[in-house]
Amino acid sequence: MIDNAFAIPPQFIMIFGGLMVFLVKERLRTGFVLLISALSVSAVLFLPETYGISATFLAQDLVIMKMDSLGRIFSLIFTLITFFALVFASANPDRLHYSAGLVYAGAAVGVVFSGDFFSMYAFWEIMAVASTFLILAGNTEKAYKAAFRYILVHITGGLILLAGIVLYVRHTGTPVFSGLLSLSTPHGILIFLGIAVNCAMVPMHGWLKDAYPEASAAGAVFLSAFTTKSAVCMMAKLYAGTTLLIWMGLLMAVYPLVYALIEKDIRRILAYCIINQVGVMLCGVGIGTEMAINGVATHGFSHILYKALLFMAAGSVLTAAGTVCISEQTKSPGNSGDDSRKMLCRQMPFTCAMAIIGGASVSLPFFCGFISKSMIASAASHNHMILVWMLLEFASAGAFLAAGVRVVFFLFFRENGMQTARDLPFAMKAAMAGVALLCILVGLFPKVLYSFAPFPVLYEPYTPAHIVGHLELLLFAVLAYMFSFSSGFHPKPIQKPLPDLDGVYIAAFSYINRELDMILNLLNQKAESFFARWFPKWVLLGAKQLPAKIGVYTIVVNKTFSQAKKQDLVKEGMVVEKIFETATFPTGLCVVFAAFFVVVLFLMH
Amino acid sequence: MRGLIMENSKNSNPQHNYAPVSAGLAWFLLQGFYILVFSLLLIELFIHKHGRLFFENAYGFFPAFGFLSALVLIFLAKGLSALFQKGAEKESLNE
Repeated sequence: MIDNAFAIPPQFIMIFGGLMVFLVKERLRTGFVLLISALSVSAVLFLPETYGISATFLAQDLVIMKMDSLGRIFSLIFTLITFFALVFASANPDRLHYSAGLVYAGAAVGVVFSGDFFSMYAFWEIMAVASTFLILAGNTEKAYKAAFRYILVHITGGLILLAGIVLYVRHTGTPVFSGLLSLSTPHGILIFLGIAVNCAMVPMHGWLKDAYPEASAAGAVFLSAFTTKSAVCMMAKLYAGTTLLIWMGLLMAVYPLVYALIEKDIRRILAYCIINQVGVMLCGVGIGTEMAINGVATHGFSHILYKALLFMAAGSVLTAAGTVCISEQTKSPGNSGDDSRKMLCRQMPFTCAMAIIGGASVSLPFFCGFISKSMIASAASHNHMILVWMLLEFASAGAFLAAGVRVVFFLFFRENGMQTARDLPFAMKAAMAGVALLCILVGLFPKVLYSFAPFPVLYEPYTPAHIVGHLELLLFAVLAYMFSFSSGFHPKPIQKPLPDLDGVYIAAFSYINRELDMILNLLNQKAESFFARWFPKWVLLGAKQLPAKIGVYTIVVNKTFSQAKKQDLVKEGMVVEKIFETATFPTGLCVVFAAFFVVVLFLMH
Repeated sequence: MRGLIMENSKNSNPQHNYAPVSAGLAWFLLQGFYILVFSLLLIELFIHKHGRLFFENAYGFFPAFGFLSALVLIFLAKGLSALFQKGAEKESLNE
């Protein structure tokens, strides 16, 4: 049932718009996607507070959409940033970015507006699939591998979530959300773990710093916004006030900062800083008071803005210079003569200015990060959580050093050997300018953002004591970094990929895979030799080779019509025979078969 | 990647694309930063503080905390960096 027949939910506008992209003529495509995202922004702004969509499916009541204040503020920033990310992507107008970006954003809006677990799960999985395409759009060998690991992690997380949902439905009799969940029940734990994967909670954070830096320039802007923040929103809806979240959040807020100080890839530094800021938000969810949840919602908004701006700046450099890796042999600023021209601040002054605004927005007063992040720290001090408050301030100083100072300084004010010969497309500059303007406006007029907060905001960010105290915290941290730099003690960027906790589980899974492969193949051989006695040889041969032969002939027929070369046919035939012989089918094919059997089961039921 | 960049830009000559960042300006900005940092310490003497936690109101708490936070992070990063480099050297020796 739809409450208002004339109102169209934003998630459906975006998902259907994203799917329609392939049908729209090339010259109209950019206008079409921008219109879709503008429509979805207005839908979020103008849908009534009581708006909802409910349905019945397989004898279960579903609340596909339920408007609430937490969902509204998150979906507002999701739709806004989609608009700017699409403008940024229009510099290289391809269907993949437009379609995957819109579907991904629409699914994220669907998650934060969902009123039951089945709807949430459906949007959750759409989000995982659509975002994988944005990593694949990186179009490098590394990007393909990272995308594969990314989808594996998210499918695993999705399965854990699904297991929790099944137990929840069994326990309550309905998939509809019914208040907060507890970690003392099996379904509560499984759903928590499923959402924690998308939050990139340590030690399950490896996918984020692995995949985001490999995405295309525009893809990374989309990726920085949706997956982690929709998960934070769901944590706030389902686990507000859970003490474990405070400590897990603080671990996330502190741990990646150390990596961010020695990483050489600017986009990976930004990925570590996303984990850090999501940690701050989760800590706020754990505190769980009205002020803390307001802080989480508003900081989710601010963080998406400035992180998108920083990813856009990094993407612009990647586009213009072909790399965003800082080298160890960098030279200090102030070099006179031709050498100083090699600094990116002189080659890309506009992008440099945008990156400075993005860096300042992390924490500095009169920018967006300041008015939201400090609300979470204030919530900790209001509850006399001294250690929590101290670690949040520590994380704030560290995040400013990593994302605000290190990214901007190393990328733009050091000679990196990067050379850009030409100017950037106007679309990229316009997108960055739009987001930078929002970063400043939100910082200057915080009351506008506070009006979208889930609870009435009684917090005043601009008091002299707060401004001076916070500036002192940040600038003295910078001073310490500068001293370490001038004394040569500063941590130098490491040129090799940094080992992280994900290395442990990758190694563990590789070991399990090897051992299982050996054991199961041994069992297979034994079973074959045991049962083979009972059947005639031709039956055994047929059972073994028939599916492979059918597969090969299907390819031959298909390729004959497409006039493929004979050598290619032979090569593909050998690959197919090998696949059937070793029973190692590609994951995509397995997913297609699994989906086919699910549909068959559903029809039989 | 380079194909994305506008070919007909007015600033297509790299020589015309440089912003005026000189050694003098860098020096000026650095001095400005030092002045700002130390003027904050002076301003702190004259503002009314309203922190909920007792040490928030102590003079010089935030500068000291910021400075120490950065030092702790730098030490941790140096330690981790040394650990990784040792591991990398061991690996290359084994190879």
